[in-house]
Amino acid sequence: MLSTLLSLFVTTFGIGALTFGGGYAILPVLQYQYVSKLHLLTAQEFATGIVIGQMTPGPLTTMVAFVGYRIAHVPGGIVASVGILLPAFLAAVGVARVYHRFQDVSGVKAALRGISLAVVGLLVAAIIPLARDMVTTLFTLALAVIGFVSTGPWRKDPVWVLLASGIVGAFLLR
Amino acid sequence: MVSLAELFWTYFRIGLLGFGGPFSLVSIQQRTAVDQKKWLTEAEFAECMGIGSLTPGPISSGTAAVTAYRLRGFSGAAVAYFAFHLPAVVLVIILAATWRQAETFPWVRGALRGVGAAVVGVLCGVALNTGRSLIKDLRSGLVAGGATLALAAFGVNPILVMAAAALTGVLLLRPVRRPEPTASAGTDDVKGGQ
Repeated sequence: MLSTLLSLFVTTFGIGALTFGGGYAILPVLQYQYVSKLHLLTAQEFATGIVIGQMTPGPLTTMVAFVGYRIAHVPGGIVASVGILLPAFLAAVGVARVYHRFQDVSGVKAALRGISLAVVGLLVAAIIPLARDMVTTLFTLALAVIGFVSTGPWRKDPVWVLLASGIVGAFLLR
Repeated sequence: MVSLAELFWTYFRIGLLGFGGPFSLVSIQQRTAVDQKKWLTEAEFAECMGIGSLTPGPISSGTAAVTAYRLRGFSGAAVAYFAFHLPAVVLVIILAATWRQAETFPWVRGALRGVGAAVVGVLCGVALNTGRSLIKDLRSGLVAGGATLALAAFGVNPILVMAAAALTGVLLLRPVRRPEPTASAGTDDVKGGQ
């Protein structure tokens, strides 16, 4: 138990330190680690976690508590949350302290730009296994297309399309 | 000086009522800290948000930490940061614990399958918009494409890819120092500046 919690903490801390921009950057890394590599959650469970993260207030990143709970119950949920949120806190406070000296360093900006570009790749890589599990019929494909069009080109808040798909699914996909 | 108790309750409330993604989470903070409590000016808050978006983790989390740090130092930042995330983490754990029972109902399973399919589409939309806003030229396209290939086709560890992308950024994506438009300096400066 203790070693499970320790490795959960170390991994989430690493993920928290290296992902910029919160939820959508963190999700693919969590999915790779805990669904594709360690098989501690199924893709369906992970998708449920994303939905719970969307349903609850606060940053989507806190869905890591769901992943942690599935691995090691309540202590797992707490440890995973602390692990992923601690680096952001230390970095923000650290930068706030030295802000005036740090402002114009072009190397820092360039590194951040490189990382945010890699996030695009992370998202694409996360979609593939999820799509394989979730989009199995013409009907689920239609739901995915609606989700894409409304958040992509139309830039609508995903909460509504997810809610609507849930209601439709409750009646038609049971 | 703002008391720790006030910071706790203020950020707890924001964390509890903050639905609707990073933009709304930051704007609730702004309304509270700037308009309601008058702790900071508009410009000061924008600076806090700038730092919050530069550092790892959610933008709203970073902004909360930096704002509270400004108001009450390290202890203020720690209290506000804890209070901001507390409601979400508690709610996610409660839902994670009760979800398994709920999943035995067929309509809950149907709803989850519906939402799961829509999540795939939503993530595609997010990838498209992120890509469109970040990929400006061939070099940035190559970095994004390379990362996609490494992750999706070759299954390289994402943390390694992020570190490599940061390094590539430093080597390839440094902003070109443009000459002042008023000065007589022409293209020579661009060459010399690198």
